[in-house]
Amino acid sequence: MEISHNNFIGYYNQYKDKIYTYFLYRVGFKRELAEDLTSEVFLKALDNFDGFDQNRSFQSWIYAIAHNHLVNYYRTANREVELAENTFSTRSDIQKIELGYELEMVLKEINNMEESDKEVLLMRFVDQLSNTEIAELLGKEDGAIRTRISRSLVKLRGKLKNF
Amino acid sequence: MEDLEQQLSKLPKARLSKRADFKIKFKIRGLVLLKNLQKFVKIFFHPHSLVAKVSLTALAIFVVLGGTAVYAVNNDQVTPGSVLYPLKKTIENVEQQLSLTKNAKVDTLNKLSERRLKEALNLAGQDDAKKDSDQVEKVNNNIEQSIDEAVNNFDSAIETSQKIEDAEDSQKAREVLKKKQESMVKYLDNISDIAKNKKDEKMVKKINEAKEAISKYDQMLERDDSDVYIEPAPNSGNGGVMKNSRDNDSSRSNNGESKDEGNVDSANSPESNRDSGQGRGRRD
Repeated sequence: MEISHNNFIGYYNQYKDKIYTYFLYRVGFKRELAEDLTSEVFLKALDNFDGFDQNRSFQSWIYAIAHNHLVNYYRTANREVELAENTFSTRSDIQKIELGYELEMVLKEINNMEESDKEVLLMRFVDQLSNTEIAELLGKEDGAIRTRISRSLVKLRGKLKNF
Repeated sequence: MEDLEQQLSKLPKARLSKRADFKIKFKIRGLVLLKNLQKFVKIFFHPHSLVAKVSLTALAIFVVLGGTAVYAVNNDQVTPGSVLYPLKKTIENVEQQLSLTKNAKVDTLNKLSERRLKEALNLAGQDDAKKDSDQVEKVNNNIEQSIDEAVNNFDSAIETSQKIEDAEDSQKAREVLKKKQESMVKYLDNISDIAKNKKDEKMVKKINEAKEAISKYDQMLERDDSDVYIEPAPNSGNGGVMKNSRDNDSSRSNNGESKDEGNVDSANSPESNRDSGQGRGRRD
């Protein structure tokens, strides 16, 4: 089957900002790095586009590629610790996305949460993925994701009580 | 703080810069091109690919047939009786069908006439000593057939040229035909010389008939369309006059109306031409 360039470009146009946002929130708002990762993800997707089942959701497929790519990125360069320590940790990082005071505090507290809580909250509220999609990406049950999001929100509320 | 879930939903969604977007799209286009190229190469160059097998076989057949056809058409050694002769004739038929204008048809018919005479010359030049009487007779029949065909093609070319309405095109066609007529006579003379050497009276007679047949158009081919007949003025009492009076009588007498023209015809008869050996169709 000949690759339909227009078909793929259509998907790209639909999801480019979402994938860029996904990376931006996870690499400390380093724009160039997020752009590079976005580019790599779409090229990887195109390379495997023949294997993509058109009946499936492209969103689930592209987020799965992005998620695996990010995991590989951390793993290969042993950057996980470094990024985990630095993600949104400084005021200047947060200022890069021009947030209001309240949102700035929310983001800072999310960053201080455990990795698993932070991930589900970003996926649910920034990437706006459904519980099923998050469950698929993280290899969990729908119910487990719903519970984890609920618990993470409780934890975050507790942290933000003082503001 | 308002509802936390609403606050979280308000976290900004970034937009990819135009520069980055352009770079990614460029890379995507490059990769699509590369992948399609790879697929094409895989399909056409895979040794077990059916498409490749069929394509290569078709290409081989096309090359062999095309090469053979070109060889057959352009080679005067491919004569009647040769294995490739039917192929040559088929291609000539196509050639005729593809000649769309009348001038093109005249050119094609001229080319075919000359081709037939070249074939006849080749056949006549063959050494009869190496052949038995049946073979000689067969070759002679083929020579006669080629000469007949050449004359027929010339007749058709003349007929077609007469249907050309545009005066300039008609004049051009006549000039071409005139040259071809001269060239055909030369070929016929050469074949006649060979026949005379072989003391083949029958063939000599056949060639003379052919020369006679193509010389009957001398007068028509001599006509010049720059001669314009001017209509007489109403009630002038005079007939029309030719603007160019150099050859006006020949133009009018194309259908043999003039007595003088009859004399010209007889002066240019094949017999007198044969006697002089040159200047067919010219008035001395």
